[in-house]
Parts: sequence; C-alpha cells; structure tokens
Amino acid sequence: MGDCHAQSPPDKARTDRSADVNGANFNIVELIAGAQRMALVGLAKNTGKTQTLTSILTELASVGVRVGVSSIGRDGEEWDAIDARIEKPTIHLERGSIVASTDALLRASGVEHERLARTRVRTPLGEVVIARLSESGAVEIAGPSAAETMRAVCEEMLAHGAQQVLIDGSIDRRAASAPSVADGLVMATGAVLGESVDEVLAKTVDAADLIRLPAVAAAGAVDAAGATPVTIPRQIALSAAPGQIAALLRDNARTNTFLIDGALSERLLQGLLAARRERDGHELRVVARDPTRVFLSEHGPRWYSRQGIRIEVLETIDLRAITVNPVAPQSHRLDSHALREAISAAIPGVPVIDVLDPEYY
Amino acid sequence: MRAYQWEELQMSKSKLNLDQGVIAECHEAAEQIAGQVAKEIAGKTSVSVERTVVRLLGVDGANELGAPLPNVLVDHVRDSDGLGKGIAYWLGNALLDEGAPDTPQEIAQAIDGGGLRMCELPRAQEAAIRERIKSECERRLGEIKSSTEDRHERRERLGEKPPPLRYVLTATGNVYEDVEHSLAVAEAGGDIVAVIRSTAQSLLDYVPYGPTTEGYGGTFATQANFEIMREALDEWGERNGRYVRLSSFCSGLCMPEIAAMGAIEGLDNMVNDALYGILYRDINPVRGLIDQRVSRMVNGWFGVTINTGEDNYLRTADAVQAAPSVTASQFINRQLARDSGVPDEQIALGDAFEIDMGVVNGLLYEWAQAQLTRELFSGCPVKYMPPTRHMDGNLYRTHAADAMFNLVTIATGQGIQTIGVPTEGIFTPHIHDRVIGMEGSNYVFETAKDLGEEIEFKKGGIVQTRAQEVLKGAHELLGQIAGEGLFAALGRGVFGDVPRHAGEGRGIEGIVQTEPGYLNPVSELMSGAPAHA
Amino acid sequence: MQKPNDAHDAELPSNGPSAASRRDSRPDETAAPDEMTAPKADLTKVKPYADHRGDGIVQLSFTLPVPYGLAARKAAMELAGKMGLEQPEVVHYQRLTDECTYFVMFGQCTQSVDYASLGEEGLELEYMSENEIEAFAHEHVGRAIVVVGAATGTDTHSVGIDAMLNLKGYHGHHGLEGYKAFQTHNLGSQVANGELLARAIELGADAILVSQTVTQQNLHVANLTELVEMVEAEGKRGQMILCCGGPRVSNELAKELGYDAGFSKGTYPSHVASFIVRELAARTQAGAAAVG
Repeated sequence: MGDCHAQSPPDKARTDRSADVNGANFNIVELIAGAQRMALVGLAKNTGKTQTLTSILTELASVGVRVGVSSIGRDGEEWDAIDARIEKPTIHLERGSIVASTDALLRASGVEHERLARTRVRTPLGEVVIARLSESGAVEIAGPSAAETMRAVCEEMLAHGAQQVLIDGSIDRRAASAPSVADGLVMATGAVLGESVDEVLAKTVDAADLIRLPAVAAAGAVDAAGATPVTIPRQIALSAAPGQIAALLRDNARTNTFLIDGALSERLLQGLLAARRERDGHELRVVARDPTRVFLSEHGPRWYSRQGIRIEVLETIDLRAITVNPVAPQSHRLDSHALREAISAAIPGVPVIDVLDPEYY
Repeated sequence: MRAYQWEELQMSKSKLNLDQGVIAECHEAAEQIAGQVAKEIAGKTSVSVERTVVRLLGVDGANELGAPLPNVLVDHVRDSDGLGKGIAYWLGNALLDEGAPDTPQEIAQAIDGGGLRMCELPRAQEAAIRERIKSECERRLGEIKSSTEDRHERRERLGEKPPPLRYVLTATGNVYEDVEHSLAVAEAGGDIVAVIRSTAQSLLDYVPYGPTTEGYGGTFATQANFEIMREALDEWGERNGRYVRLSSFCSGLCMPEIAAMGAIEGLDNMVNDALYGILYRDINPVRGLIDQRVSRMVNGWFGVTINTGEDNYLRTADAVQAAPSVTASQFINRQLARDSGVPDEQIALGDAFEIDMGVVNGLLYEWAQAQLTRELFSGCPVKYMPPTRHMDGNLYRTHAADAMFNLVTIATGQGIQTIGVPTEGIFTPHIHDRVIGMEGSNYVFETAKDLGEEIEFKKGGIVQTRAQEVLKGAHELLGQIAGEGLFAALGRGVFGDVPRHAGEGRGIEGIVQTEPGYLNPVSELMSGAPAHA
Repeated sequence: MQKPNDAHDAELPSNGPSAASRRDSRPDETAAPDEMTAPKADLTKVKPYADHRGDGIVQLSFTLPVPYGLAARKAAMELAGKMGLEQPEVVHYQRLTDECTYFVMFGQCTQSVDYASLGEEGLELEYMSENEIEAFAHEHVGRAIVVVGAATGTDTHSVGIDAMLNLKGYHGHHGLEGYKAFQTHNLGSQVANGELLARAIELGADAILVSQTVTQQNLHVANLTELVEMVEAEGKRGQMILCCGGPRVSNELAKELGYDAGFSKGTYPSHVASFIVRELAARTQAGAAAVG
C-alpha cells in the first residue's frame, strides 16, 4: 500500500485522570492520545458531538497532526434529516487532511482534493472514496454504513498517511465504537437528554455503564460454581421465547455463566429474569463479546445487576472522555459546571469536558 | 339536557326486510360458540385475573424497581406454586393470621420487603378463609360501586347530548398535555374522550404505576393517569354544565386489571374486544379469552359501556369482502359479553366505514352495513368508526370522506361515533384537527338530523340486497364456527385474515390451572348478582 | 433515489414528472419561435403556482397557543411574514380553547428553488416492470431471493409491509409474494428486532424489509437503529440487504441509520423489488460488500 509515513499520534503520558476531573485541566487531544482510531458517539442528536469533533480537529491541526476523518451516517449537512429546524455545523478540515466520503459530496463541497483510492463500498448516496484535501475547507462527510467496513476504511486512511483517524457516529450508531473498529471512544451527552441535571445524569450514567461493561473475570473459563460456561444458541438468544429460555436454564442448572456470540438483547435478559424459578436464587453472569453487542434501552446494567444478572464482556471499550453540551437547541439550557460535576461524581475515572466552556483549556 | 339513555329502535321500523329466522339462528350459533369458549376456559385463571382481584382489594403502588405490587404479590404466590387456589385464598389466609398485616396492601408490601412468605403461613380452615376474604371483597366492591353510583348521578345531573355521542381520541404521550387536548375536545363539543395508549402497552404483562409523561404513539394507561384525566374533565363539566365521558382501552395482557382501574377511577367507557388482542397482538387465544371474560364482568358490574373492535378487521382485510366477518364477530362479541353479565345497553358493538373510496356505490354498501348493525342489535349503542385505511396525506379527500361517514352515522342512528379527522392517514391528530373533524360532525348531524326517519329503502334494491347478503354470509360463517369451534376458526384466519393458534402466542405462560377449592370472590359476587342496568 | 410522485402512477409519466421528463424539460430550442405556446416556467426560479405563474401563493394553517382576538391575528400575520410570506392574509381564524386559536392563511412565498440544477443524488434507479424484474432476477441471480419483512418493535401498523409483500399488494400492484423471483415471509407487526433477525437468519434471508409508522419522539429511529446494530453484532451485515420504509422514512434517513435504502409513501412493490434485485446482483458481482 505504499510507504507508510504513519507515526503514532502524540503519545504523551496520559495525564492522571483521577485528579481534578471537572475538565478545566484537560485537553481533549491529550485524552485521545495513543488511540489511532478514535470513535465519537453521541447519546442523542444535538449532544455536541460534531462540535467536539470540530474542536479535536482544530487542536490536532494546531499541533500538526495529520488526520483522517470518516463517519457512519451523514454529518455536516445543512439540514437535519430528522428535524429540519436545527442546523448542524459543517466540518472544516485543514489542507492535507484525509477523508472518506462519497464522490458526490466531495465534489459538492467545492474543496479541491486528490482522490487517493476507491473503496467499492456502496451506499445509497454513492460510493465511498478516500481523498486528501489540497486546500482547507468545509466538507460533508458520509462514510460507510456498516461498522464492518469502517475498520477497513480506517486502515486505508492510516495507510495513506493519516496519523490519527476520527470516526463520527450518527445518532445512536454505537457500532462504530466496537473494539474491532476503534481503539478509544469519546461520548457526547447533553441537555437534550433531560430538563434537569438529574435526568441528564441518569441517562448518561446508564449509557456509560453500558459502554464500560467490565471484562469477564480472568478465571472465566470455569465459573465460581465450577461449571463450564454455556453458549446460548443464537436462535434462542434472538427469539427470546420465554419457554425456551426457561428450558435452557433448566437444562443447565449448574451453570451460572452464559455466553452470547452475537447480539445480547434486552428481551433475553427479561426472559432470564422471568425464569427466576429456574435460577433458584443464583446470580447469573451473561457474557457478550463487547459492549456494542449489548442492547439495553429500558434498564441499565446496574438495574439488571440488582436483579441478579451481571453483564460482562470479552473485550472492553476504552472510554477516554465524556463531552457535555449544556444547551438543548430551541428548548433549555443547564449549568455546564453543575452538569460536569454531577457526571464526574457518578462516573469515576473519566474526564468530563465542555469544549465550549470558557474554562476549557 | 338529560343523561344519555339508549332507546330501542322499534323493529317495526326495520328498513332492510331481514329474515328473522336467519337472525334467530345467528343468535343461537353465537350462544353455541360462547358456550364452547366457556368450556374451554373453565378450570383456568390467569395472572392478570388474579392481579385484578388484588387491585380490587386495594393493592396498588410499585416497588423501587418499578414492579407493580399486584405483580409482586401474584408472582410470589405463583413462584410457590400456589396460584391454582386463587390469590384470594392466600390473602384470606394471611388476613386471618395474627402475625401477618391486616390489609391486603400491607401484606403486599411485606412480601415485597421479603418479610413475609405468604404460602408458608399456617393454614386456617377453608370456610373461615372464604368467609374472611369474601367479606373483604364485598366491602371493597361496595365502596367502588357506590362511587360509580355517584358518578352516574353526576352524569344525570350535568346531562349529555343525545346520540350519536362524539368519541374523540387524544394521544400525546404526556398525560398533562393530554389534559389540554381533551379540554379542547370538550370545548368543541366532544362527548367522550379516549386517550390512546402507548404502543408498547399491549405487550406488557403488568400495568405501569403512576402518572406518565412519555409514551410512543400514545400515553400509558395507568391508574394515576386515569385519575388526572377524570378530575380535569369533571372540573370542566361542572364549570360548563355538561358531562364529558372518559374512555380507555382494556386490550393487551392486562384486560381485567385495566377494567378494574377504570371502574375505580370513574371511567365511563372502555374499548374491550374479545378477539382483538389475540388477532392483532398475538396474545395466546386461551389467555385472551380468560382475560376478556373477567374484564367484561368487571366492566358490566360497574356500569361501564364496552366498545368492541370490529373496525380492526377492516384494516387487514378488504371491507367489501370482510363485512360478513364483522357481523359474525358482533354476534359473538355480544354473546360473550352477555355471558359475562354485561347488558345490551352497555355493549357498544363496533363497525367501520372502510370501503375503498374508488368502489362504485361504496356509500350504499356502507349505509347498508351500518343500518344492518343497528337493526340486528337494536338494544346496543353501536359504535361507528371513520375511514382510516385508505386515507393518506390528502387532507381534503379525507375530510370529504368523513362527511359521507357523518351522513351515514346520523342517518342510521349510530350510538357512538369516533370522529373522523383530516390527518387520519398521517399522524395522531393535532389540536386543531379534532376541532375540524368535530365541526364536520356537528354540521352533518344537524343538517341531516331526521334524514334517517324519512328514508325507506327500495325493496330488493342495492341497499337491502347488500344487507341481506352480508347477513347471509354472517349466518354461514357463524354456522361454520359453531361447528368447528372458535379456536379452530381462529386457526383458519377467519377474522381479519389473521390466523392464530391455541398453543402459541404471548402470555401463554400466564395461564394457571385452578385447583379444587379455587377461590375468587370477585367473580362470584359479580356473576351472582344482577348486573347494573 | 427517485421517489415516485405522490398520487400518480409511476408507470404513467404523462401524469407527473418522472426522472426522464425532468431532465428533458429545458426550453425546446427546435420549436419555431412564432409558435403560440403557454408561458414556460423559469426552472431556475420555481415558485408555488396558484393562479398565475410565479404568484408564489401558498395556503397554510396552524394553531397558536394564544387566546382568540385581534392580538392573535396580528401574531399570525407577523409569523407569516417571518416565514417569508408577502401579503399574508388570515382568511379564517377561530377559538379552539381559552388559550388556543386556529388560523387558515394565504400568502405569497418570496423564496424560489433552482429546480434545473437539482441533481439525482444517490443511485440512479430506473424502476423496472414486474416482468423486467423477473427476467433480471432470473439472469443475474438465478435462484429464489429470500425476503423477510415485518413492522417491528411495538409498531402495530402492518398496512405498509402487507402492501409491499402480500400477494394482494397495493392498488393493483402485486406484492413481492406474487413474483417468482422472491420467496417472501411476512412476519406481521409488533415483531421484536431479535425475533425478526432470528427468523431472517434461519430462513437465509437475502433482504430484510422493516416497516415503521409510529414516529412519535423518533421511536422509529431508535428501533431501526437497533436492528442494524443487531445485524452487525451477529456479523451478518454484509450478507443481508437492509431496507426500511414508512410514511416518515426517507432515503437520507435510511442511510443515516445504516440501511441500504429507504422507501416512503407512494412506493410500489415493484420499486422495492427493483432495488433488491439490482442490489443483490451488484453484490454478487462485487464478490462481497467489504473492501478488499
């Protein structure tokens, strides 16, 4: 694939995150240092993910890091596909930046660029190509639709000289943050999630808990009861028929650890709860491959844990930072400092930042 | 203005020249079918039936994990394999026990806290248990009954408009916003407000607790939400001198519970269909029929008018073809309701104006069907529903269709009309859409007020022929179903083209075989005494 | 992708603009200059048309949460002005409640659209007829294409999915069940994503069709997203074509959510069928959906 000029991005020793996490002393670029492929995911539209991306790009540019950027879904559009009232900022990129977007969008941006490669990844808006910008400008970025292909696209960008690749997730596309695709994650939350700090906090904590599901204990080959973990067949895991789940528990009465290869759905967990009697009071452990394969919307991992089901993963996600947008467009505004403090207190060890706050470094 | 009393249409005024012998046979077939259903569900109860007993005994609230206490209580007994004797048995026993708390609510709380294992208490004599819990039920039911009687008095005092009563839906997801919308409905002349439930609710085997501000496609039906809406409408009613009814939906896995909650909070109407949940929510047929029976007992006993859901068949099957299945369902629905003690004047059988707009003479067929329903079930305040299936973003076309619907409504003397709104085909109505719809109804009801009395249909003409054919089709269908049994018919997809099987479907694990000595004083009290007229 | 014109049959181009006629509607240079023709619209500055070309007249209605009265009327006029309407007129207004007033207004829209420059974004898709689809599938795919569809989550509206899949179809157009090229499975409504996926995998589905009608609070977005993520979690994204549809689903939204295509109101089964056979053929040719 040609000469690899890739150096790893500035790999400064990571600042001790546990000290002073109200964000005043954290620079986001430091926090994402060392992760070649960084994913950004927003908990909802208008959580400031794009703004965070813009801030990261600005700072990386200022230290001369060559970036690669792509997205799952569109970003930088002039109109919002779901709610036409709200405008989103366009993504400004420096000369020399590498992007993976569709041909049509690159042309429409009017920014001069050099096409580096075709990807043959087809999307409804055209084929994704990899290009290097010959001049600075604002571009709409629409990358691959599938997380599977995103990794390959990122590799291409790195191979063409990007030092750090940023992956922008759309709406709730967590798949971009899977350990197989990205090395680290920044999560964006904000006032759109609730009218009060407490409401936003609750949802943020649930999301963070899901992202930070713990790794299965090293002695996971054999669980505490001495029985080998059992893999739940895909059919049963997906269909989540109560009768089948109960039968599975009955047939594996001595096992308390269950593995899921693919998607772990909330309905399966609810089925396990409903089959309480078969568990006979034991705590169950359910192990998924990684957090992006765990689908929870009604309750968070802590709730299930209280009900006697612990959720663990084989591969974890590295949550590097949480960014906060205290403004809910056309609605209300919360106090940024209060919000950040509350989140820091509830999610220890993760820096919480508001990139638009005057305190921000 | 006095309260709305349904008056029997004189049969001598029949316009359709229907064969009375055929009609009698239809009723007989329906009785047979209902009898088969009764046999099939005998000896069974369900978790929701048992939770209903618990609710009627005053247990409410939820624990810190959000599980409603009625569920906690019933699940507790179920986990100990005791539910076959009926939750009333265990409650009665606990009430007699000196160590256990003195009220069902406190018992439920104690169980939730882990401090009480209900099935491990020493057992009292069955006769004593029965006596204790029966008197508890009597007292509680009596309290609720007296509050429903107060409600009926209020209705009499404030008065209502004469039929057709305008039934209007709201659904914001937030009960407080629903209040605003419902007051707008009342202002514009709506007679019955119904809050559509959140789409998720029919799949829940529990009723959420407390006021809710979030829901998809609707607002959750909770006892607190009922109370909030009821209060707002009562207040409006007192201020404006007109009673406004409140309605909700019993459908889903909690039919009898919602019926109970509605009775306690003073609702006037409930959508309650014997087959809807089975057909359209894939609820297990046996579970669905067990639940509908008790839910209707509760509705009937407390004077609530039930609205059945035949309109739904016309959303999944073509209205011209499926008309006989609608009529057949009406016979069955009515019979099942009567078997649960609901009198005719509380059974608002359903029908809908759903023929595709392009059909030549479609209006005549609609008229025939509406008139047929009215004549077949003259004691029932039939509920007529607007065109929805073939409606889309063409608001004016929808509004025009609604005018035709209104005409048929008034000319055939329907009891209740769900108003048509122009945005039917797109999204749940905006605050002005309902007013526009109601103004349409108001206009047509006034301008064509006595049209029905003036009309005679041409002998052997299109309308009479259509009605007679539909009746004939219904008669055949009822005969078939009576022959094979309702469950087999469901398996064939006879209603709405949707096949359902007795061994499948949601909620099947909630069915419980009763044991000898099964105790359910609520059912006993309700089926023993005459239903409220 | 091209959306067929609402209320007009996409197969009768004379009833409405199709992609072809749009590209061709520049002034005809070969017409004799003294021929009497109706004034042609300036397609670089297209405005609404009610009575005279270019009059920009629009009709709108809305409710303001203010009490009925002259102040309310004034508010409506001001709002219309802010919307860019000139000479606004309140032709009707009425009290809804103590706090709400409803308006019907007319006004002249001052904005225009450069229609001539609008490109066809995304895949250029010619819709094939039923026979053409059958032939295309026979030649390029050569086996029954398995399609599994449902209205998912808590959505109870099966009208859309039935129209696309069931034999009876929509307005006389067969659903996919009526094509030899497809083996269809309509799972109905209120199908959980996990269930849909389980069945689709079990049946070896080539394509999944998801219908979503309820859009309150963007429930459809959350639900559609979850399905895509589950498909990826099962490692099946490359093996399945994912399509979604509904009255508020657009192709752009579909893309944003990770689907291969989105279908909105006015879609006929043949449109969905065209897409699926072409997409499947392209994928088969490309070898796999992944790069490299």
